[in-house]
Amino acid sequence: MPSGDYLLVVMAHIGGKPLIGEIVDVQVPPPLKERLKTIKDLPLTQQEIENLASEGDFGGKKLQFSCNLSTPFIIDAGKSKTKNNSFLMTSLMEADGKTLKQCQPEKGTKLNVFIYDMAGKAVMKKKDKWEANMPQIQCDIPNGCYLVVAWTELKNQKLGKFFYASLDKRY
Amino acid sequence: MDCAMGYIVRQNKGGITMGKISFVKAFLPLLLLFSVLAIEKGIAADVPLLKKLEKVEGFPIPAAQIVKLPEKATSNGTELMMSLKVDYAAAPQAKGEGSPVHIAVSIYPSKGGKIFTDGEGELFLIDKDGKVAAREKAPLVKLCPT
Repeated sequence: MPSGDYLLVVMAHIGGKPLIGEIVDVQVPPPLKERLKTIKDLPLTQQEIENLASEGDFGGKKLQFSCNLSTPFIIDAGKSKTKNNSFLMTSLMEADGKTLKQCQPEKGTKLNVFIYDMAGKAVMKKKDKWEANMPQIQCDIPNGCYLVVAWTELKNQKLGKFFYASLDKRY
Repeated sequence: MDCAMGYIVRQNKGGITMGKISFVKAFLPLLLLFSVLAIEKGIAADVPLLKKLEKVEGFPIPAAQIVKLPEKATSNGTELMMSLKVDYAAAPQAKGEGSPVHIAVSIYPSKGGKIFTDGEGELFLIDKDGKVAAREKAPLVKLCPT
């Protein structure tokens, strides 16, 4: 989809007629690598960011880094939605055979989170200690599309990801 | 007889007398006026969106009905609601001038339970010129244009 602003109209036809609908402002961003080039104060070099892996082998342990920016919709009797309390949720999982189990990094491990808006301006720069099992960072940022760069460093090896996150305006 | 705000003026033989009338009676016309203005303001708030949608061709129902579609509705006694997620998770591999858009739509009972699949989902992605850039109709559970 070419980058730009769109209006997304979704409806569910149940029993042969439209019953439920949503209208959302959608901001389709340019390709991620192209956007990275336009940001001046990146926390790592572009190459380092592009090389960030969300999975890695750490002393025989297969670890997965997971990070999502999302907004819990607070639905009040079906009438209103609050969309200004988005959270960045991060977790570290260890692959154990075919299953994944939650894993706590070593004490003193840092979690780095940088969030940029579509103008390339940093809206969040955080370098916190990874203390909670699944750290949740509250982000009071307006609706729109954001580029998130999040990583941690375990045994001198970076584990992280960079991605677009969308906080859409709903009508 | 002449009416003034909160007072009623009566012309009798002996002259003009003023007496208080009930608060509700006195302010009723004003309350009605405010109600009408509030309703008009509420409608006006949807006008830019409605105007945008009215220009779009190909909707199965009029734009005025689309903006009124609720986010929750009851079907066969079950209250249903929509879950809509838009993301660009596949973007690192994107080439060209845009990004892949992943749209997931599902309907589920508001009190919890299995995803409702007896129906169809339809979506329209409309660009800033009011043209339909993507359109998809598929059985409920998932809609994923890219």
